[in-house]
Amino acid sequence: MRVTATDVGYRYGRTRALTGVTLDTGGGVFGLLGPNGAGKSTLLRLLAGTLRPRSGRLVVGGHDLARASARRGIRRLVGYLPERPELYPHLTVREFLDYTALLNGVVDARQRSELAGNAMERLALTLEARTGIAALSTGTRQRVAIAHALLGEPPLLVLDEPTAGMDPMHRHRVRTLLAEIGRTATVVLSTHDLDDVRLLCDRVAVLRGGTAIFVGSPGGLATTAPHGADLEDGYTAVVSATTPPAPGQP
Amino acid sequence: MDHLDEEALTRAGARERDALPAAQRAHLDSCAPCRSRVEGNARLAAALRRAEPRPAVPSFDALVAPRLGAAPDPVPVPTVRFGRALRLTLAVTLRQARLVPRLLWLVTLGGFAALAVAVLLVPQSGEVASAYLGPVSVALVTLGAVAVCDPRRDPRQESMRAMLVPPVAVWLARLTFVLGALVLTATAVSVLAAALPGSGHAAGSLIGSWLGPALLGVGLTTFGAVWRSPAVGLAFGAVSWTMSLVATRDDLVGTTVGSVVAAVWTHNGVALTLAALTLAAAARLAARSAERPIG
Repeated sequence: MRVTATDVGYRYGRTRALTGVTLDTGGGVFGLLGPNGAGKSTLLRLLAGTLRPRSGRLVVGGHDLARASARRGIRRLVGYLPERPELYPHLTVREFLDYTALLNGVVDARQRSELAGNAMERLALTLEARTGIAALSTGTRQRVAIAHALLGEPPLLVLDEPTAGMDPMHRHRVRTLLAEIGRTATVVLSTHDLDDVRLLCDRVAVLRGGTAIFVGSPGGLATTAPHGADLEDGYTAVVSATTPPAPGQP
Repeated sequence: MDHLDEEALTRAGARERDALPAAQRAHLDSCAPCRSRVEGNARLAAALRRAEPRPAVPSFDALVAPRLGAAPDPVPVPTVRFGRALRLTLAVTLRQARLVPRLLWLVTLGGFAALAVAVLLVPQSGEVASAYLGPVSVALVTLGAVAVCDPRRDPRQESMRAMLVPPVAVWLARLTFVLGALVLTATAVSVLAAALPGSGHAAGSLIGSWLGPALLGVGLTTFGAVWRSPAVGLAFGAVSWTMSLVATRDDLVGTTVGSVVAAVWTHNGVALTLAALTLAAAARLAARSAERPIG
């Protein structure tokens, strides 16, 4: 599912969060990089249809998200992991995923159970199926939140820092899973971990001060470094070379 | 130690001297031929940097603009047929039993059970019913509204916003389920109290002693909770319950004030209208807050 943004802007009250963002995710896995406060989470909320673009044109899967009906529609098509996922702490992992499947419209209990079981298997949560969410570690909760987002195999996955707080083994597992999903669906993720981009992303955008200052391939980002082809150097070069608009200014 | 190999010499010449192993750095400090080769490499790298233009960040606007016009057909949005929508509504509503705090069921059903036992065991059941049924029912139904607004289980959380069933629908389902269960239980206790021999009350009048004030309490509680915070909702509910008590007890505040309060906090058209208006306003605010930006 293709996402195209043309000159998209958003403000929280008088605070500017995004200014003139233009990009095209294509298919596969698309990464969003940028310092804290760059506008990554805001852009992901716009893509998930939970915010309305204040300016510009944002088209997701052919739906122009300026219209409320399109945003309602896209919320049915997207799997969304917010930056701080709040899961119901009193439910077990299985109960939570079963409830999520129900809210996604799966009325049949057996089908819901299969979906929840499949999601738990993919995220290595089978052993925690009967554990209360309140008792889980941060990384495990993050995996539950990812399982919640990918229930029902949505054609677009919008993930805000999906590997944050995970141990290396589970981070590897999640990356492998997302790469696999990226072969048939579009995955847009934000991250501070350049390994996520290096190992996962087909394309990447760098945001700073609410503006996309680079959009291209990870290889292209690496070659923007003055010497050599290292992604970290490329990212640093792009972020430090561009003078952003003063953050938070109206 | 032997002279440095080509890779080490190249790295040292490309400003990566600090990344070399300690032994190689030490060799470099003491070996003039190696240092000379490193300096040569450094000069070569500097010359190449000067000759090679720095790659410019591509203008993505220019690259994608021609393609943006040719929008593909929209991806079809899943729709829900009427029959499935009904089953889904029922399933989501019933599931709310598990989503509200378990303590709510313990307190409310325990409270109603205690009231029923008191009505059954006390010889003057009519007096018990008229004295306690109203205040207890209003308090317990209002408590249900507080539980619906528990922020830790809020269906309007950000992770629940991108779903087929919108958060406000879940919120309404929860409110309907909890209130339905509590109003039915209070009605059952009222009918039981009226049916007992010597009660002296009709079921309708006993139900009327709490229904209007209870619904107004629910409306004010949910409105306060959604408008500001659950604590504000709780405060509104407490005030409403107190008013409902004042409305039936002239000895608390005097006849004049009591009659003014009773004009609103008894089972009458004003109370039911205000309850409907505050509930509608709460639902409207809940729908808007599920679209409100976070962060």
